[in-house]
Amino acid sequence: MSGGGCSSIVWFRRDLRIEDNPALTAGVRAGAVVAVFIWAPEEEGQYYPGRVSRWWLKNSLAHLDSSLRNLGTPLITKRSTDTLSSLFEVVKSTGATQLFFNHLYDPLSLVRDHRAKEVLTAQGITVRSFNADLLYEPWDVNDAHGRPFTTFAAFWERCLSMPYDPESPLLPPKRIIPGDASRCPSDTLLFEDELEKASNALLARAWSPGWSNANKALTTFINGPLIEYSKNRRKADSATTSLLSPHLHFGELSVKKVFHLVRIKQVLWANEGNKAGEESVNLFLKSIGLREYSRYISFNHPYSHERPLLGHLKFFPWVVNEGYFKAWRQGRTGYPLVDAGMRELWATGWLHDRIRVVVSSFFVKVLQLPWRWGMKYFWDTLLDADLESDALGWQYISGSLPDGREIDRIDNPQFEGYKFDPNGEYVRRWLPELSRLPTEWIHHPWNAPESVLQAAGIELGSNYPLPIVGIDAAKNRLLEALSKMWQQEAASRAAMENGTEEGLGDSSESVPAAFPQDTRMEETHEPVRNNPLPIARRYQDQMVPSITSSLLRVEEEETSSDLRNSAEESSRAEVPVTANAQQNAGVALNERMLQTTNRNTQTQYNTTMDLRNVADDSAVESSSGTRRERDGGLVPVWSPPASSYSEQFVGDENGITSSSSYLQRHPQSHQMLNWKQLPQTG
Amino acid sequence: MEGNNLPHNMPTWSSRKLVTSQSPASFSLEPNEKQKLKNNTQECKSPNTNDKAKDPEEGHSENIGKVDGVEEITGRERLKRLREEVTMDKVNIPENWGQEPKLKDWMDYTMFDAFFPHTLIVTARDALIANAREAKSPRLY
Repeated sequence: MSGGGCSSIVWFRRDLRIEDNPALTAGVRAGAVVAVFIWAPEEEGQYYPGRVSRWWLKNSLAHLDSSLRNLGTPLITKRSTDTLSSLFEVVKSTGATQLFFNHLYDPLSLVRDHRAKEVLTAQGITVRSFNADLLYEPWDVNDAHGRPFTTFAAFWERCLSMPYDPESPLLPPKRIIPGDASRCPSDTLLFEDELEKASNALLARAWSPGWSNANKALTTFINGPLIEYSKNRRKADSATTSLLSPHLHFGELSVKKVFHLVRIKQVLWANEGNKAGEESVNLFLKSIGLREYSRYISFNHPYSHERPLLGHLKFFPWVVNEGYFKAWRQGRTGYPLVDAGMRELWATGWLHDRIRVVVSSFFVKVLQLPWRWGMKYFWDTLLDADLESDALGWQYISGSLPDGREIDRIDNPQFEGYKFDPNGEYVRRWLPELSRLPTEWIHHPWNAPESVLQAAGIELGSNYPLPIVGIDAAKNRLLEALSKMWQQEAASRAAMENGTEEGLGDSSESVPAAFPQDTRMEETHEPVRNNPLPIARRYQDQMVPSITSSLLRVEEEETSSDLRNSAEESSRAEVPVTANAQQNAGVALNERMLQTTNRNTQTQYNTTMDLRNVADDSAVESSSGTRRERDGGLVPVWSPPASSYSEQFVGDENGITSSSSYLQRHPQSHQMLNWKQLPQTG
Repeated sequence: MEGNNLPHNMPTWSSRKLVTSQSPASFSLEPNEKQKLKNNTQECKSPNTNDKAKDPEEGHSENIGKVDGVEEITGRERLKRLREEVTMDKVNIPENWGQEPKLKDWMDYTMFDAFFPHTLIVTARDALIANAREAKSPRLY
C-alpha cells in the first residue's frame, strides 16, 4: 500500500481510546486516517442506549476527540438511522480505500459488521477487523473436543491455561496524519433531552468518563484496593471495588492492559510472599473472566439476552404486575436492603455487585417479575450497562444457566442485610426515613415493636412500606410456579411430538440445527436437573473444574455421570435432542413416562429443599453436623464423595484449612462467588 | 528479579506521563473542578508526605506518585462525596419511568425473531470466524 494518497477510515464504536487500539494502529500504519463515530441508536431497537449510558458516551466522545486532535486528526461524528449508508458516504467523500474497526460480539453488531464488510468489499474497499475487547477470541477457547464450554469454571480454567498469554497492549500512536475530511463535516450529536439533564448533572459530580480518566482509575485501583480485594469484596461500600466497568464497557480501557498490569502486580506480590495480594489478583481476574464469558456466551448463543438459555425457563409463568415493578424501581418494597439499593442505583448510576444480586434476585424470585424487565431497567440506569454482561447476570439469577443459581432458590434480604451491611449504615444512608431505627431492627422493621417504631418516627405502611410480599408466601408461590412451568413444558413437548403445534415445532426444530452448542447445553442440563441428587449436582458442578486438569475433568464427569444416573436416565441423556424427532412412537412414549417420573421426583425433592429452607430461616447458621446428617439421610451414598470434593475445593481455591464452619457455608459462598465477580463491578 | 521488573514498569510510567499530559485539557474543560482539585491538593498533602517517608529510594516514582495521588483520589472520593450529598435529601425516583408502555412488548419473544432472523446471525458469526482465521497473524497489520 502506498503512502500519501491512501487514507483509511478508523471506525470507533466501543473502543473509545487511543492506546491498545489495533484498528487505530493499523490505520496509522497504512497512511492517513479519518476517525469516525456513527450514532444510530434506533438500530439498537429495544436496547436503545439508556440515559446514563448516553451521558457517559457523550463525555467519552468529547474526550476522545480532544485526544485525537492532539495527535493530528479530529473525530468525525455522524448522526444516522442507518450506519451502513453513513459509513459508505464517509468512504466516498474522503476517498478512503480501507476501513478498520475492532470487533463487537453482540448479535446486532455481528450482523451489522458482516454487512459492512460485504458491501464495502464489493465496492473495492479493503476491510479489516481486530480484537480489542477480549483477552482471547471466542472461537479460540474450546474444550478437548473443539466445542465451546458451557460453564464458566471450565471456560476460565481454559483461558488461564491457554498456550499463549493474551497479547500485550499496544502503545498509542505518536502522531496521526489526517485524511481529507473536507467534504465530510461532523454532525452535532444529541445524547440527552431536557428532562434528563437534571439527573445527569448528578453523575458528573462523581464520574469522569474518558480514556485517560480510565487509566487514572486503573492506577488508583492497582495501587490501592487491589491488594485487599479478596478480603473486602463483601462490603456494600464500593470503596473496595475497582469501579472500572464503565470504562471497560465503552472501551476506554483495554482489558489486555488491565490483565497485564494486574498480573505484573501479582508476580511482585508473589515474590514478596504476599499470599493475600496474590489471591486478590486471582479473584479480580475472575471478574474480568466473567466479562469475557459474557461475550463468549452471547457469541455462541446469540439469543442469550432475549431467551433463557435453558429451554424450560421459556414456560415459567412470570407475574405481570406493573405495580410490583414500580415499587421495586422506586425502592418501596418494604425490604430495606432492596430499597436502599434501588435508590442508590437511581441516584448514582452505580450499585455494588452484591447489591445487584440482592435486588435482581428479589425481582425475579420474590416478585417473580419477568427478568427482562429488570434487565431493561438496569440497562437504563447503570453506568456500566452492558448487553452481554447483563444478560449473563440476569440469566444466572433467573436459573437459566447450567452453572447458575438453583432455580428454586430464594434469598432473604433480611439476612443478606446483616451480611453486607452489618451495622446498617448503607440502609440508613439511602433510606433516611429509617435512620433512627436501631440496628437490631434495621433490616426487618416489620418485626420491630410498636414503641421502637414510634421512637424512630416510622409508621409502617405510611412513611415506609410494609413488605410487599412475605418471604414465606413468596417461597410457596415460587414452588407453585415451578410446578406449573414443568407441566407446561411437558405439555409443549407432547404437543410437538404429536404435531399439534406446527409453529412451535418449526421453531424448536430450527434452533437446534442453528445452534448445536445450545442443544448440547440443554442436554447437559436435562439429566442434571432431573436426577434425584441435586445436592451432589451442585457440588460436582461447582468444584470439579477447579480441582482437576482438563483431561481429568472429563474423566471425573464421566464417572459422576455413571454414578448419578440410573441406566435408563443415562440411556436417555445420551440420545441427541435432534434425534428425538426421529424416534418411533414407542420410544417417545417411554420418554414421556421417564419425564413424568423425573418430575414427580423433582416435586418430592422440592418439598425436601423447602424444609431445608425453613431450617435456614430459623437458624441462619445451622450446624455443620446437622446439615451433614440431613444430607447423609437423603443421599448416604454421596456423603463421602461430597465431603471429599468439599475439602479439596476449600484447599485448592482458598488455601484455607478445612473447618466445619467454612464447610457449612461454602456452597452458598461459592454461589455468591460466581455472581460477585460479575464484570459490572470488576 | 528486580531487573526483570523494571522493563515491565516502563509501560506504566509511560502511561502515567500520558495521563499527566491530558490533565490540563481536563482542567480547562471544567473550571469549577479545577478549584476543587486545588482544595484536594491541599487536603492530600499529609498522605503524600507519609508516602515520601516510605519510599525514599525512588525519586522518580515519588514525583509521579505525588501528582497521581492527588488525581487518583479524586474519582473515588467524588463518588463517596456524591453519596453523602445526595442522601442529605431523600432520593426522589419519578412516579413514571417513561418506558412503562414497553413492558408488555418485553414479554414477547417473537419480536426478537422478527427483528433478527437467526440465519443472519449465524452467517455473520461464521464469517467473522473465517476472516479471523485467515488472518492468522493478527499482529502483522
